Amino acid sequence: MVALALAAMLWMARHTASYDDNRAPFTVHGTLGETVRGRDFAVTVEKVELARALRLDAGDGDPPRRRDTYGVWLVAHLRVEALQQPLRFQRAELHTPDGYYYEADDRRVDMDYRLGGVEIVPGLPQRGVVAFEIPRDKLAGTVLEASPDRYRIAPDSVAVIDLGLTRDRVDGLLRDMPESLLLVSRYASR
Amino acid sequence: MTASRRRLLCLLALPVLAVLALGWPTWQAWSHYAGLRPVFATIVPPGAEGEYDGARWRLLETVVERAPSDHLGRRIELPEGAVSLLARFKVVPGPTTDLEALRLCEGRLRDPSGLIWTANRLSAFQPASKLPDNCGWSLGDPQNWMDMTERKATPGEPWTFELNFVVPADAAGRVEPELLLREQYPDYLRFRR
Repeated sequence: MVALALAAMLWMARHTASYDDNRAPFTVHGTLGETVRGRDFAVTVEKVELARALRLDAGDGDPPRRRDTYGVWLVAHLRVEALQQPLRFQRAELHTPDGYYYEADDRRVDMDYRLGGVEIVPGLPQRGVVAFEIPRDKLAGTVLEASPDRYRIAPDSVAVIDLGLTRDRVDGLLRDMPESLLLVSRYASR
Repeated sequence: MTASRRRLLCLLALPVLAVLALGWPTWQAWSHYAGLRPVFATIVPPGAEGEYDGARWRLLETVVERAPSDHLGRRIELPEGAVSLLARFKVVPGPTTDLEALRLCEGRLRDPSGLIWTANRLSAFQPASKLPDNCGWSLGDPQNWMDMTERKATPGEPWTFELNFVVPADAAGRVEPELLLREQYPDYLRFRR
């Protein structure tokens, strides 16, 4: 009886989820162009572009402000839908195969241009961009992780999207990369 | 007490203890959960008043607009397929109403499938309004930006306010407004239209 109890305790100790496991998000996987559905959101990466610089046009008649980088800008065009209640799509990171990650640039690309600044309500999907600065040699194999929960307060769904950045594809994108990419404020037409 | 009687008592006590051991933590967990969330809706029929936090609440009307204007008369460009839904309410606080809590009330819409739209405050889709957008407090006169007078709901006096929502056009007809006060969780109000 004692041996059985000990065996049961050992089995439970080995198979009980750790704290990290308990706090881990529920990952849902997808690829470029595919709609990935989490518990309370759905996201599609419609397009990925690279550029040496960004030009931010506020639509106020002033010339666009230029944002340079020592690496490249990766701009992902997303379509996001809220499936339960209003949300802001606030967390986007690029994860490289060798363990590095790069957060979307919220400092140099302010919220008038990026998707994270928009409240997304059920039934009214929104399109927008997230922009990352990333070294050129980190592009291959990079995946996008995105979710509404910026600080991972509660374990919930996180979309992990393969951007299809194979070595050949990265070489092609870098070769055809424009000198700069124009982003227009969503308030430009108001 | 004989040994057999003691055993009988122990046997009888076991189910009671089992119920307590399972029931008490479950009740505590449920109380904690319900204290932080709106769980029980008080349904208010169309045109009727509902009682909540010692106050009487009424949905006066809902107005759906496809092309609302802002306070400067400019047309607001809503997202494609969206409409603006204004819900106007009247509340008469009672003597026991927590007036400070009133200003923290939340408004939202819910459709029959459970989808939720929260009220837009300070958003780019805020249409012109003649009423406060708060259940019991306002700073200034919505029609006069020079006026920065603080106004508060008082017991016995009606306070009229309106909340603005942006919803898909096909949802506008089937959503029901809800009002929530955190201090009153798990109870909240749902207005039939």
